[in-house]
Amino acid sequence: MNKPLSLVLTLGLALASAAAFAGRDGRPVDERRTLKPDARVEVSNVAGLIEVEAWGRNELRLTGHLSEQVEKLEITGNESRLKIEVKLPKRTRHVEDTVLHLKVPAGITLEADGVSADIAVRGVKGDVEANTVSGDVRLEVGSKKVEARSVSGDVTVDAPSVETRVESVSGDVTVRGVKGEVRGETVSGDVSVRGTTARRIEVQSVSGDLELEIELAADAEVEAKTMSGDVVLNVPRLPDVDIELETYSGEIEPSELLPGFPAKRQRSRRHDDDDDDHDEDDENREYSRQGKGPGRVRLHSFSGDIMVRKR
Amino acid sequence: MNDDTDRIEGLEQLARSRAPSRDLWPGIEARLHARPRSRYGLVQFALAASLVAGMAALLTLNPAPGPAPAAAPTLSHDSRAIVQANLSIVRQSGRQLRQALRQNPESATLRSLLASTENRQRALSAML
Repeated sequence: MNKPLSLVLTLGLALASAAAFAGRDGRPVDERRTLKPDARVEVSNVAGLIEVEAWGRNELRLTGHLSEQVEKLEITGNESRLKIEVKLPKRTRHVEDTVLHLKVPAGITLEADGVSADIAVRGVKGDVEANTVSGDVRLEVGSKKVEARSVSGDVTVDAPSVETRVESVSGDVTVRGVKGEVRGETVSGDVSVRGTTARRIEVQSVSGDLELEIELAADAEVEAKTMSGDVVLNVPRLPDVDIELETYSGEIEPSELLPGFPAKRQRSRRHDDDDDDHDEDDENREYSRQGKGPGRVRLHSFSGDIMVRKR
Repeated sequence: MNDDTDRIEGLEQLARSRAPSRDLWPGIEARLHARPRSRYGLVQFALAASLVAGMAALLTLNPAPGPAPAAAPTLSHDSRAIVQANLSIVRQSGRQLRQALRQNPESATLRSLLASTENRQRALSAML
């Protein structure tokens, strides 16, 4: 075989292999940048995955692959502030998955944004904010401040954070290990807060259930509100604080933690039509007691049941 | 194996069916639409980022009532269906609360739930 012909064949074979590779796995990404230990990193991806993991080096290592539709991966900024964006051509309507794996110094502050991309972060100790629309968010971090939101995806946070905010519309929200202040909200998803010594917990839903499996200090403030979801509070004990449980048409489950409930003479604030059956029902719908501690526990529902259980 | 000797006395007198204590359909409907993946272009991505930011601002706990944002971002068909299903849950909740408040206008709990529900309704409406 003559040399020009073999060169053409070799190049053709190489191009065909590259095309086949790109078609199967997308265009590979492998980038490195120096980063300060406390740098701010912003990363955005439309579809696929953003995965961030802390490591022991003061640099960013970015691997993964870009989908066919991606125009370019833009990395801008410097060692103090770095921005990573997956750029698409204007009016792109359908996007295949782009996968970004980032390794970063643990102390960075991170902001991750997706649309249908999942976001997973592990080991980061700086503040973390993660937002996506139809993807899931999973944060296992050592951060003091965490915010995580999705519209239809699940949101899971496992962090010793002192300021935590988690939201979803239809996805479930799960929070573990947080301290300080926790706020969680959904519409139809369930909210679960577990294993926390948080001082202030506020959770809300419309139709999702609210479940708190926590330990309560005497200065803890807990507020759970739902329309039609159930509220479950699992605690080793209730501290001597103000307790207020109220449901409009659901029931409060009798519990050893609620002595004297249901009380025969307890009256509801509901409109009283002097119906005996109604009065009997109302006895199961309110419970309150005063405590000496500065804390407060308020569990409210419209039609969901309220359960306070000793674990 | 059941036969006549295993019958529990009085069992046949119990109700054969029991209605749920609340309307379960809105929750079921929302779950049926749960979490489909959607694909977006750049414009939609920017809008969706605004959406998430707007949601963050609006879906606050005990927020002060305020106007909805002026710009409504474009959602994918699937995400839109999810938001609409959840919006119908919220609207139904609002109707139930207003009806309950007519019977018991003094209830601080009902008023608080209604305020939260109306804020959520505004937030979800702004997404559509």
